[in-house]
Amino acid sequence: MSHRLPRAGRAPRFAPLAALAVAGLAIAGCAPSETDTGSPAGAEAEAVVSEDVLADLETEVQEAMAVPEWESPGPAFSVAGLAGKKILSMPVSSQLEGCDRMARTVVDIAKSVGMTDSTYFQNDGGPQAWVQGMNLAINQGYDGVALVCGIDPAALAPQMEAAREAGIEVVDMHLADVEDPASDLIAAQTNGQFNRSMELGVDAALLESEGRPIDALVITSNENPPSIGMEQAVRDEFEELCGDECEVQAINIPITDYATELTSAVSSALVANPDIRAVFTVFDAQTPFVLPAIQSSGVDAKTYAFGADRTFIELMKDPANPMGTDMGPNFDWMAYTGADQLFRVLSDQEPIPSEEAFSPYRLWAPENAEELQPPDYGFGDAYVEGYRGLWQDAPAA
Amino acid sequence: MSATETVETTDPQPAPSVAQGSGSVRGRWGEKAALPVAWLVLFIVFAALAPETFLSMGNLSNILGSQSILFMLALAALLPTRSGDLDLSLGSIGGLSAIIVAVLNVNHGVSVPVACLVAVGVGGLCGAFNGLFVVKFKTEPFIMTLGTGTLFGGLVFWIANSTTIVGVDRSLSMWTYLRQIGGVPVQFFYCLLVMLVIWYVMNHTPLGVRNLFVGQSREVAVLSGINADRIRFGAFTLAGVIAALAGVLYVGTTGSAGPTSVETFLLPAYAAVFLGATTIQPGRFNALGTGVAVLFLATGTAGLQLLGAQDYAQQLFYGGALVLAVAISRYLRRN
Repeated sequence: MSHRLPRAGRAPRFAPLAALAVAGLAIAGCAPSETDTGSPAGAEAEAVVSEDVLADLETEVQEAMAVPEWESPGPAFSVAGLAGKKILSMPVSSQLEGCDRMARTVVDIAKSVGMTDSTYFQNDGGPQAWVQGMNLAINQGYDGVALVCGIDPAALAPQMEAAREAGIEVVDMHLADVEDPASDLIAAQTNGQFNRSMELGVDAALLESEGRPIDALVITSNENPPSIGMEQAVRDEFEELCGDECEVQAINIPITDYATELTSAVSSALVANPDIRAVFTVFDAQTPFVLPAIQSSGVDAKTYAFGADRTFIELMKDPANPMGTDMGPNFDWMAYTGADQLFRVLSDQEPIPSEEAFSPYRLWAPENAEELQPPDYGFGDAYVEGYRGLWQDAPAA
Repeated sequence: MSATETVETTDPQPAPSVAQGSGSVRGRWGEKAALPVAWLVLFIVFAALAPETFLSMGNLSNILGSQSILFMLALAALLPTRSGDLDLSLGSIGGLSAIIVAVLNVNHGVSVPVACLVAVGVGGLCGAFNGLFVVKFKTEPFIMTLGTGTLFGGLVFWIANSTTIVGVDRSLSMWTYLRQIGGVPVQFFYCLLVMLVIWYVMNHTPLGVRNLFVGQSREVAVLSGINADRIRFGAFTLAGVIAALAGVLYVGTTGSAGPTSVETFLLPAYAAVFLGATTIQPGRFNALGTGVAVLFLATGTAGLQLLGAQDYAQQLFYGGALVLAVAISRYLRRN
């Protein structure tokens, strides 16, 4: 006895046509490449950035690579009234190591000033989890909520309103760029120098090319709000320094698609334009997917990233990895900055204006990556004593 | 959900109802060649639209090399699918394998070969775990592997401490993504080798025939004296091993492993398996068809990227291919 599979009818013969139709639709969705007009870069090209400007850029880059100095954000105030109150600290996702650590540090700091019942809310990210956290804070009578690493309050507008009615002060930490307007849904926020990070990356890339025009690729994840401004910052900085000579191209890859799409997308971009010398990543979690694409392409490009995650700074120490710069914060410092803002609103003080409420970033490059050492990981510890000095009448440790 | 297909039993004589006349023969060959021809046309279209870049060695390397993780995972998914089951845990097994390699190498200083062997072994154990619960306890594979996949995913988060581990020994990248043969990353040839082995076993050995019978009609296979349980258990176990290899390729490609590293490849892998069932051996889940489908998807993705397509255009292509694959596969089964 033999077994014979059923034969297909005519319809499957249309499979290739249908498949091609899908391809056609997809091609129809191709937007023109997001490029500025410009001419290809080349090692032989003449410098378009003057030596004076390059010297200024060098100074700025070197300053950004130094250990940041702590500056008092505002006047000292009494935290005696915080004793007995409690806050809930919720990271954007517990899977993000830096954000998770920052959220836990905020709780530790709150406990150290007498808010001993403060808690950390572990979650896997996403509005559903954040709603649960906010509901917990409202139902359990918390006095304050720390939203850590830029949970968008607009995505939780009903919860923000409910929290306000319940008398809960919500402070969003590391929410937006310092130049962005403050959110009116929350009591206060702290911000980041997202755009400045990208500008310094452009400066470093042009220093690397000794002022010659280069082409650049920006990888965005536009579901993350600062991403859009960061791409624009790259474009603006190149236009200011390079005019039309530098071509800037952008690819938007959602965070969830990094594993499946990012490497091939960067490879394709480098095939399409081998003159790309700088790949800007708005989130240094993109790094593991970008590096193999650059390495296998043979293109002499480097990454210029935002984030300064310790694991990726470590990669800079290996010269085989084509990494230019990576700028970002120290999460412990940001925890203190956020806690300071939260303590102010809970103590009926005026919050620090959003354009001034930020922790300084540090620019990392292979030249200073060795300084990434515990316990302060290249940021010093002056900020701890500085902030503690602002919080007067705190209970003794 | 089951991937079981209908089967038609006939006498040893030539089938009377099918493939009679030159028209039918042409149709059958046309059907077999449908996807490869579509792939070729797609290739020509992109080559015409972007001749300088699409036909470059760099792009060929990208098409063949950058989708190796998907390729390997699709081959893993092929095995249980061909024997009439479905394994939704393969992405998590790949992720578990990746994180084991990273943790052993980065955190514990274990050499890359040993770490990879451990990871592949664990992948096999996970596959056997699936096989045990699905086959021995006669549970629905869709539900059971959904559960075990979540379980393995939880293990990944636990082992990784919910973070991405970077800094895996560069030698693994050299043996997978960075070393090239003819400009193509060597990991593509690993996938090709696995595909050819599966193809040979499936088409030229008694084991392959028994596997086909089990997949086409389990009851008939059992009545024919085939130990269907053993075939299915073996398919789950081997799928776990190959999914673990996909995890190893992932670590080699990125030099890192995260909590959700390989999981995201699962649906595209099944898209390739179902799309592959429409070609080479239409109506059967087959290795060569799966390979062609992976390359079809990779070509479409690379071409769209070269043309500057936005992410949604690629999703349109991928999603459309998946919808077509499932619809065509279903149609074939009904006929």
